[in-house]
Amino acid sequence: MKVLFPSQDASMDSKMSPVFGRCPYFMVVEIENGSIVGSTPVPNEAVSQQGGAGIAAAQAAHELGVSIIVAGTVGPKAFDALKSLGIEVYESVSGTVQDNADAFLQGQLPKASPDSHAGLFKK
Amino acid sequence: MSNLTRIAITGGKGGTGKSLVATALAVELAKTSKVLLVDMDVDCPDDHLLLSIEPKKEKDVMITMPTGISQKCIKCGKCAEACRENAILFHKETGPKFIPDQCIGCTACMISCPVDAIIAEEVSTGSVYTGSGWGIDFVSGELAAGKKESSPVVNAVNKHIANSQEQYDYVIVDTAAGTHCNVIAALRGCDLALAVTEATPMGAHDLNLILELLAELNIPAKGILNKAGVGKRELSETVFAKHNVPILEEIPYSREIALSYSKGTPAIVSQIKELAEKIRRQKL
Amino acid sequence: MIINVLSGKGGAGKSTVSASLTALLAESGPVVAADCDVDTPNLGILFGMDKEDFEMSPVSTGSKAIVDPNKCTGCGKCKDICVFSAIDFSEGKPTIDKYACEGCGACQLICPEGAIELKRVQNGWVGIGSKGKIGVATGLLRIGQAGSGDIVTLVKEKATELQSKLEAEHIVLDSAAGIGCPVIASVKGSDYAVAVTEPTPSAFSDLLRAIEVLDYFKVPYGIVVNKSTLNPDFSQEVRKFAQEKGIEILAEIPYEISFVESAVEMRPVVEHSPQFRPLFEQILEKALSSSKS
Repeated sequence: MKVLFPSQDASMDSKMSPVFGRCPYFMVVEIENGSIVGSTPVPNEAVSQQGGAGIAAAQAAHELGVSIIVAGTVGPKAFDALKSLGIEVYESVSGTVQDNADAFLQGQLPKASPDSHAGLFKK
Repeated sequence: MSNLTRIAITGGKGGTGKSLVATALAVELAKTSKVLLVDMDVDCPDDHLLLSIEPKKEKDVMITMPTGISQKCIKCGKCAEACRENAILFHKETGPKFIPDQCIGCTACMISCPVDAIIAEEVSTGSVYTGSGWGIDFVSGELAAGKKESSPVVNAVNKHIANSQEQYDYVIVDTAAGTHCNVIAALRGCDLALAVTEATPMGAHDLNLILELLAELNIPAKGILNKAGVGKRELSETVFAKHNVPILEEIPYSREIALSYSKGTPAIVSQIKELAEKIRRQKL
Repeated sequence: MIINVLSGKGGAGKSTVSASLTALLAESGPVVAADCDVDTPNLGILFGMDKEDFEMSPVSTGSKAIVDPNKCTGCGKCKDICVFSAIDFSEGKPTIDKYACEGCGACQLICPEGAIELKRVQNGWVGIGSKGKIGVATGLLRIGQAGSGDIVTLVKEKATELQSKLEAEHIVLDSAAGIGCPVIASVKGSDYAVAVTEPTPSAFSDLLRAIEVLDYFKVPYGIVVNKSTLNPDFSQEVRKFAQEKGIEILAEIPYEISFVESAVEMRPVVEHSPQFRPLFEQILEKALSSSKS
């Protein structure tokens, strides 16, 4: 399965981007049998979008075949859009994409609910 | 050849007294001329309250919104591609899903659909109201709460008065606060703008922006310093001077105005009478 | 927590309340204030900040339609399709009112000759500044341009980035006047709203509309009656209304000249006139505790 991590830069060692909709890169990580088999950085075209970048980012994630995203802040529009497209959201922790991928594989990341997404900052 | 002068009452900052000036000026001018007052602050129309006029709904302002797809949909995704507001999600298997809160009713999706599969619905985005009282005729617009786009409602008000406005000597347009598209739509076709401000740093900051906008739109501007005596007048004077805009009238803060405001009667203080007189003289 | 301050009515005291709530929060740690009145962003003024204190970058959230007169056959389909009344005809060719054009692209799609192009426009700026423990995210709409709602969204994102950088717990959003696009953009996703009103029929009417929008977007809220002593009878009406609807009155702030003075001196009220601190502390306490219910 493909899991998307909003990222500041194009590598697994990049810091996670605090926002999903307009993050500079999507790190799309391929996971099979509980381990990482590949990762691809994809520049986020929604960065320069007119309105509703979160929705455009959700659309892009769907087109990349992503089934889960791990994020700090997902705006309400993007959250609903992801839900409509059948993509689940998990809450990120501070650190790099790699840190979050490891935490995800170890089942340490909680699932995000509609109420937990807005304005939440993880220390 | 009509004798119409269309005057906008605007200001940038909210709460400076636009509606107060618009309503009082309209009623004062109506003592000698035919006046139409138009409340184009469609987000929060207040003029009818200031004049205790009971407005009557003339019509709803309708926009066309997509609400679903028919069996004809071939899941090509062109509608989602055409939508620049990200109001359409496209799922590879189930096809398009419409997000009404994002939709501005432009119908780009319907135009782009090659098989005419989008089901459209006429939805009200606001209403146009009319009324009269104190010797004036009155038209206003009201945006439906929850709808984003104010300018279609402002445009509908403009359309409604397009023909009838020629019979008036004065059309007084009360605009919203700010400088965005609904203010611009209200300023359209105005011969003069009265920029109402207050002598505070925030008032001066916003005055600068509205005067910039008026210059950009090529609408001659004159200043009204409201609540004069409160704050630091140099703040406003500097901005007016920078834009070469004279202060036409100063209205001091007074209990009389505050009282009229809460009673729903026009606040026709002596300064409003003077203002009306200056405007009459300019017209001749 | 994201606290949104709005009113519907302009001049009711949104920025005054936002600045003081922010100043109070700054006493216990870093806090972010977001100026979502991008037409006329003046929140920074109340913190004593000016243009030089902010680092702004240009943004483009929209486009405008442009007609190529050589390809155009004057069929008029573009004028008929435009729902924003932005296209007119002059000497058989369309003219596009750049102020009315919302860049939706409907005209480009309908034109049988491909004579219409959509060009991106730089319609504003967003940026950040700071004063002590307060980080301020702000934006400015370019004069004559459209898209203030989209710019508000960008300001909110800047605020979120700033919140992360400063490790701030809360964001205070100062909304624009009205209830249209820029206000909706700031309200969506807020955890709590402080609805500021004054005891006048206009402000009350506007409050009701602001409340409709809050209910529509399911944001919990409380009411602040500002300048309450200007019309005690009407303040009583507001109190009655709030009681009937089960809406909490967070505070009633009296009308005092010191509020104007603090604005002129460009300082939050809680700093300039500390005798009013308890009122703002009360608002903050009630807003913060609401998130737990």
